[in-house]
Amino acid sequence: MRRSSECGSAEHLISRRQALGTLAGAAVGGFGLSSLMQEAVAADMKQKGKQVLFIWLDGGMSQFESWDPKPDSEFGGPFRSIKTSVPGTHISELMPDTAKIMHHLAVVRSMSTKDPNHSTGVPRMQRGDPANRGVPYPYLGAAVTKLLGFPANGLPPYIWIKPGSAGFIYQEAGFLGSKYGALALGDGKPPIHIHRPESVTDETDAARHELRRLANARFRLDRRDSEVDAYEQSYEMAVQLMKRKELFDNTRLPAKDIERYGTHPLGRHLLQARVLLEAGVQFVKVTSYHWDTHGDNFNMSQQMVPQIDKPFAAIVNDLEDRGMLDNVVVVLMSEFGRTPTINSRIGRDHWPDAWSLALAGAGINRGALIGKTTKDGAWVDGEGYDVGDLFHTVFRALGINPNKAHYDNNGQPLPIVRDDCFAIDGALA
Amino acid sequence: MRILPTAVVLLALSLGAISSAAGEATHSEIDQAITAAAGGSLAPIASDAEFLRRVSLDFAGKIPTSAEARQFLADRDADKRAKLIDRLIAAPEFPLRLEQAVTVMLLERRAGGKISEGKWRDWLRAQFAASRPWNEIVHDLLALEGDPTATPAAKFMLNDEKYDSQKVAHDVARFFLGMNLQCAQCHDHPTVKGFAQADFYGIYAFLAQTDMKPNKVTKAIMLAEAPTTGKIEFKSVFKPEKEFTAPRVPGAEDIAIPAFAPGEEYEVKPDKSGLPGVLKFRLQPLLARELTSDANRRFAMNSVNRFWFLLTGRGLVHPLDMMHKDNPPSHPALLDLLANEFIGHKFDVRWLLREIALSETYQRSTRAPSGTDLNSVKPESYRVANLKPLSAEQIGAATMVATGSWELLGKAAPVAEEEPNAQETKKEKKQKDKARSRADEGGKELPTTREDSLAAFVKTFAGPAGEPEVEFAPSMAHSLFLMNDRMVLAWLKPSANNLTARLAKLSGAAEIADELYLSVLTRTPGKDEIAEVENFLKKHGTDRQQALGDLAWALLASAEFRLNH
Repeated sequence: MRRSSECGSAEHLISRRQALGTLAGAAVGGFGLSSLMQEAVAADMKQKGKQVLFIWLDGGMSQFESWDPKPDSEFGGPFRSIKTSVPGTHISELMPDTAKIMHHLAVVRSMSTKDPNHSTGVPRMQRGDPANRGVPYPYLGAAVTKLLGFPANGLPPYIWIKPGSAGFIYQEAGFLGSKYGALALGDGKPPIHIHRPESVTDETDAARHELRRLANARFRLDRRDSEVDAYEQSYEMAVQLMKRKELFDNTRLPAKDIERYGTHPLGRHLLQARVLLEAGVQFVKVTSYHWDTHGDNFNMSQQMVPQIDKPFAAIVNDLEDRGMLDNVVVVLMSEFGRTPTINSRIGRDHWPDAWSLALAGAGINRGALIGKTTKDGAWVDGEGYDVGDLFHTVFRALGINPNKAHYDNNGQPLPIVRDDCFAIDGALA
Repeated sequence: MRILPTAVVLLALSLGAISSAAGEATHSEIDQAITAAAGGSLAPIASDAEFLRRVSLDFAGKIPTSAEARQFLADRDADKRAKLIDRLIAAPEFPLRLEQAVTVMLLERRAGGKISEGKWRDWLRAQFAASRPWNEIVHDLLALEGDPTATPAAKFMLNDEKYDSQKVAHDVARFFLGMNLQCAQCHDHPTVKGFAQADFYGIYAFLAQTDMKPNKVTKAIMLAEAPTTGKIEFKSVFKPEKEFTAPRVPGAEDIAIPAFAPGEEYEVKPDKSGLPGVLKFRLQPLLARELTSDANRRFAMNSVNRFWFLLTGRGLVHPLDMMHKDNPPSHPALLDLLANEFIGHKFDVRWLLREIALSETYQRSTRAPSGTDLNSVKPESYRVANLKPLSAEQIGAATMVATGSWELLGKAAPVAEEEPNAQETKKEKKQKDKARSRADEGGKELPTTREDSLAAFVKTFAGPAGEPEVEFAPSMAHSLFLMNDRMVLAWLKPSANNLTARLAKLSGAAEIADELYLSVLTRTPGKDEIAEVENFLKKHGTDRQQALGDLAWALLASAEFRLNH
């Protein structure tokens, strides 16, 4: 049995070709056709106005206790599986709300990645495992900001809602340059100093910024733009965000929404994410920590999985109700899954070899169930997908042709994805 | 008059301009190397004003006052730039600026451990004030034993609650050898051929026997080394077999470990009371000695590369901690020359910084000759001087000097030495944070000292803990702070002889613009800028005080102020 398939391996390529040859025309495998249509969409560059909700469950959510339950297997654990809104697809009983929105999702059960460590796995996954080009590659949010451009609404293009500290996480921009970094909101709260003292009137504020812009325009002459651009941007974004302070005013949120999403951090942060997406923020990342269940996996899962189940279902439903789901690409994932074997502390350890993630929204094949694992859940049964494949998928869902678009690193063109990977079969609409 | 040859040498020595083998001053050789490899037109030498601002920020950590700027610009002495450099090096701000820059480099904004940051800063500043050679300072960071709280230098190794040999080995490799061995902790670096796992464990082997142990009598935490028994074992996650390494500085020979009969390892045996004893053979002092010796080229090259970066904004090897074969220096012969000369000058930081600052390369304009394709000007070519972001400390000090608050705030009364009590420090920090956030929410508690004001800037502008501050990383948090912080806005209200008070006393637009631009941007305004001031004051004449504050704010918030250009 194949443990994992690396992008670019001969085996991987052959099996793709086989998929093309044998499945083209069949219901699940309109691969050839849909990929042609993708080209057409990309050519149309219809990505304007597209948004991304990227939910990161840091530490590694157990696929057994979520998307890929194996209740009757040796390692399956105590939880049962339940029916979902997609006939034939079952998920863990810990996700009853998500089961009801399964028809909006594409679940990939055949992720098979390489890195079993958090410290290297998190950046590797969020960077799409680029081949080493001697420069640090951007994280997904920074990449999308670069590829889609800064939105006309002037709001920060990339906001990261996370527990703990806030700040501007320019490191995520990699070689693209600091302005593509993430604006991190600690616990979803607005940056400090967002409130202008009363002593500064609207008129004064406008006048002083006008002077500042004029000074920068003079400084620019015969100097490289990048530093001035980045500095200018930090002001313009602040000006825009100050106009939208209400986005952080939780008292404006209906009590019913707060109850539906939950009052725990992940619930509050996903509700905040909805507000920001509604306002037009292009890329919202929501991070939740402590999914690293090396000990007491089952009690931990019983406590934690519902914390993603409820607000995840709520935000997908809300985006759909608002007509936004056709526009927002939703990704829910971790850096890896968890071992089938249960360790002596009743925990599951790191397992990159076979795990699951969920996609929804723009360009995504709704209701799709992609790939499967062996009976014991240990290995991918059939084609496995690496994170490079996921990046192809997400970019295509956004209307970006990953084989045509490239970054410009001081005149040197660099690919936006691994060119030896492909979009996940059947994940795209 | 005939000067005897010996007198010439003595004169040269007193100026610090010791000539190299080729008989030329190092700063000229810098320029030859840069010019030879430029591959395009070079920017002209920066104006006196631009030079004054640049060198003041680099050597004093702040900008000059408008009076100081006027004096320098009016000076007709052809040698005034060199004289200014020497004045700045002799001034008390110089060791402070070096201390701040080196603290950011070595501690990377990480705070913690048993040794207060204040003690560390005082110690480091004293080293630079006394012109201690760089290799001796680094030696002191590593050759430690006994009660670390008695030695502020120990903060480098003990900036956390626990002593962590792995972390220290990682930091030593990065900061002193230009080797980022993070990947090499678990396996040979996958892409960098020169960074082997054995290099990491060779350094680690010097440190692995050291740990913190409490002295049972005094309860003091003692840094003590246990006897070394042999080579260090390690295992790659990619290879099945175990490997071994002796203590070894990368590129140097293995250290032979003498064998002692059990019980014979100590000169003075460990005391039952908890005193660590005196070993016959210790590894950690050997690391300090081997690492910083003249024979270790890597140490000298990494050192000059980092000081070069401090002044030019770009390492000859860049990234700074990626000094390996596949990432060669932009100017290999120059790096070699500087390393040789630095060793020859006994690791004299003043000499090195002075030579760099005397070079035309350092003194070039940040403006390209007009018509130049800016995309073709690579930062590593130094054809045009690179823009350098101001550090948090530089922004704070420069903002205070520009607004005239520097004089008004004055120095804090000397505070009683902080007890190295983590809990108390945390409590203090909490109180300070609380005061700050109250101020942000509209309270009236504004900082009243330079130190506290600077702390507010550092809190906002410092990079994330554990990250090197290399790239310009402007953030919305920075701009919101300058836009809305009550302390900053208060500095723009007229008070005593501060900037806006001085401006308010002037009547003509030209005079006002002159004082404003010299105070904030260390240069005289252009015609268009004088006209802008005039029009702005006309348009907003109803509230002249506010208008003057807005004019000053716009310059403080400009890219020209935020960057060392």
